[in-house]
Amino acid sequence: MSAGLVTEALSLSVRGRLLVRALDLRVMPGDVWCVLGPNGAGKSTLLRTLAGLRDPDGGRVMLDGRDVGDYRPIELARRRGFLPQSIVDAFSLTVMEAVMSARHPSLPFWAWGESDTAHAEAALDTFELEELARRDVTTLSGGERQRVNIATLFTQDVDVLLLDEPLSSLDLHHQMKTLHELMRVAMEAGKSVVYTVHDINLAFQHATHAVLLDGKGGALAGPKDDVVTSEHLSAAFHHPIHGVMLDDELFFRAGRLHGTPP
Amino acid sequence: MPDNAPLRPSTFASALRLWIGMLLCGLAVLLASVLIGGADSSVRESWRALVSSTGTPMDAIVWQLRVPRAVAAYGVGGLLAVSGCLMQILVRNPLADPYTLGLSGGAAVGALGMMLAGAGALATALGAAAGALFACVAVFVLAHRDLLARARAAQREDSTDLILIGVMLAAGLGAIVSMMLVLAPDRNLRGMLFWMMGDLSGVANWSLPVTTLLAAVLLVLPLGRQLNLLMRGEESASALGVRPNAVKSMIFAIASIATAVAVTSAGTVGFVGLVVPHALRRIVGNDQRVLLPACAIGGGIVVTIADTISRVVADPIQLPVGAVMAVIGVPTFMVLLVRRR
Repeated sequence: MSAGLVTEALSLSVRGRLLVRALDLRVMPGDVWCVLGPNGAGKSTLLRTLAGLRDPDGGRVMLDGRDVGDYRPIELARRRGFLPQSIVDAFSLTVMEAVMSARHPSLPFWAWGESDTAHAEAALDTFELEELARRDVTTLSGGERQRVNIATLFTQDVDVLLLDEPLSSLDLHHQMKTLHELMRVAMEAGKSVVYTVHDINLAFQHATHAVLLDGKGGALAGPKDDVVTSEHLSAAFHHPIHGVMLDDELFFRAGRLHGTPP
Repeated sequence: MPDNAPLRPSTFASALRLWIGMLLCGLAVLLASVLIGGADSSVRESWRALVSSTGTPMDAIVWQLRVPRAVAAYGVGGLLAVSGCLMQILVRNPLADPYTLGLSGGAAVGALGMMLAGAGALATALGAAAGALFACVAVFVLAHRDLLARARAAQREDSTDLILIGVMLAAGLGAIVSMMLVLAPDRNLRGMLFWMMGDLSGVANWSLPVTTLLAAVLLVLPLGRQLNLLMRGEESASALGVRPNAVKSMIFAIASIATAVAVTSAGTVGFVGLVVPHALRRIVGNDQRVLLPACAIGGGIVVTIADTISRVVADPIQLPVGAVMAVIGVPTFMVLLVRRR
């Protein structure tokens, strides 16, 4: 069977409400997919289903030709990583401990893992976190915590990275940095990346493919130029969204609503 | 976390050094507890009786009363601290311990019920164990139904419901205990009160707590890395290959049995499960692989000290160890709470 993360006729519904009907995805190594859609359209649900953390409500999700539900959790954790929308820590731990915790799936059962720090150090370096390595994560700002969580995902060192809102609470520089790193690991290391995001323009600049959900069962998937068009976006978001060219680059601009002050 | 904390996470060697150091302290405390007695016995006499069998009455006091009692106190303390630490991870709430989850309340109802029925020490112990296990099954079944219902929903939230169910159960059981105390005939009342406040003077099987403690630590140690992940939330833990429900069931079972054995041996001794894990988290950090054995050793130290104080301070009257623990524990915990960040 084919490699990569593949869905066949995937349907998702939450509390009896159908969000996605018959979605076919083929996420190949080197692909970067952005998932777009209005609030509550099922972006997170799609990501959690792809991660195997939730059963599909119809159809199947396969990783390298094998149903994700058939993997043992630990095997799956060696192949794909998942960034939840938020991690709330009830107890203190250092940034280094948080990042190192992602080595769990790769370590032998009895290993303590104290010398397996190479991936963690590289990830801390990439996301400019060395200074914070000794800090208690519960004392960090929201954006710093998000960077720690992304660094944790990179420390897991997996082939398929699934990120639910990786850009939330990040400042502009770190948004660009994160997206750049996601593109880089896909291009250079042949990883597959799927992330949900709200900023259509950032997504359009940092993706090879796109999924557009409208929350009513409709789901478009394919190369980003086919999916992300002003026509499709306007329909999915119920809002006029126009494409404009700026320095030979396509940007999307949401139309002002009537009756609001200029 | 201080800025000079080591960059590298805890190593096994440093953990081992910590445990050995704490264990030496533990042994010293045990020795002191055996040597120190009421006004009519000197440390020198106790030492002589400990090292050579002199056949004096002191010999019997040391070997048949103090040694078993000190060892039992140590085991009970360790069990309660480990159980509290596990429950805090389980509900991801720093206020969890065998009390807040209703386990001790269940044990109290079981034990007092047996005392009311006029049963002996063994039946009382069995009643306590049955009560504690009943309470934890009730909590877990109620909470687990809830977990299943949530898994079907879109968002699988980490449950704070377990602790709510536990608190409610503890309140209900507390009310039953009050009624039992009111209904109890006077001749039973003193024994019942002592049991409720923790009493190590009548330990039937002194080696049981320590062996259970050893077994619990050995069972929990291999789960350390998974517990570290679980502490950060179920969703991220399961994304990293942990089966949250399997691990949670296992630590709940271990914590319940540990609590059941502890309350069976000593009645209800409060605050150990709360204070010891919190204090140690501040000192040794929050790596469960280091923390859980440290709790086992440290909890033992604390209760052994409390029990020695309870024996000696108002000699010949023995204070209930639970009350002594509470007198030490409440202010300590208040300080910890106020200073929390």
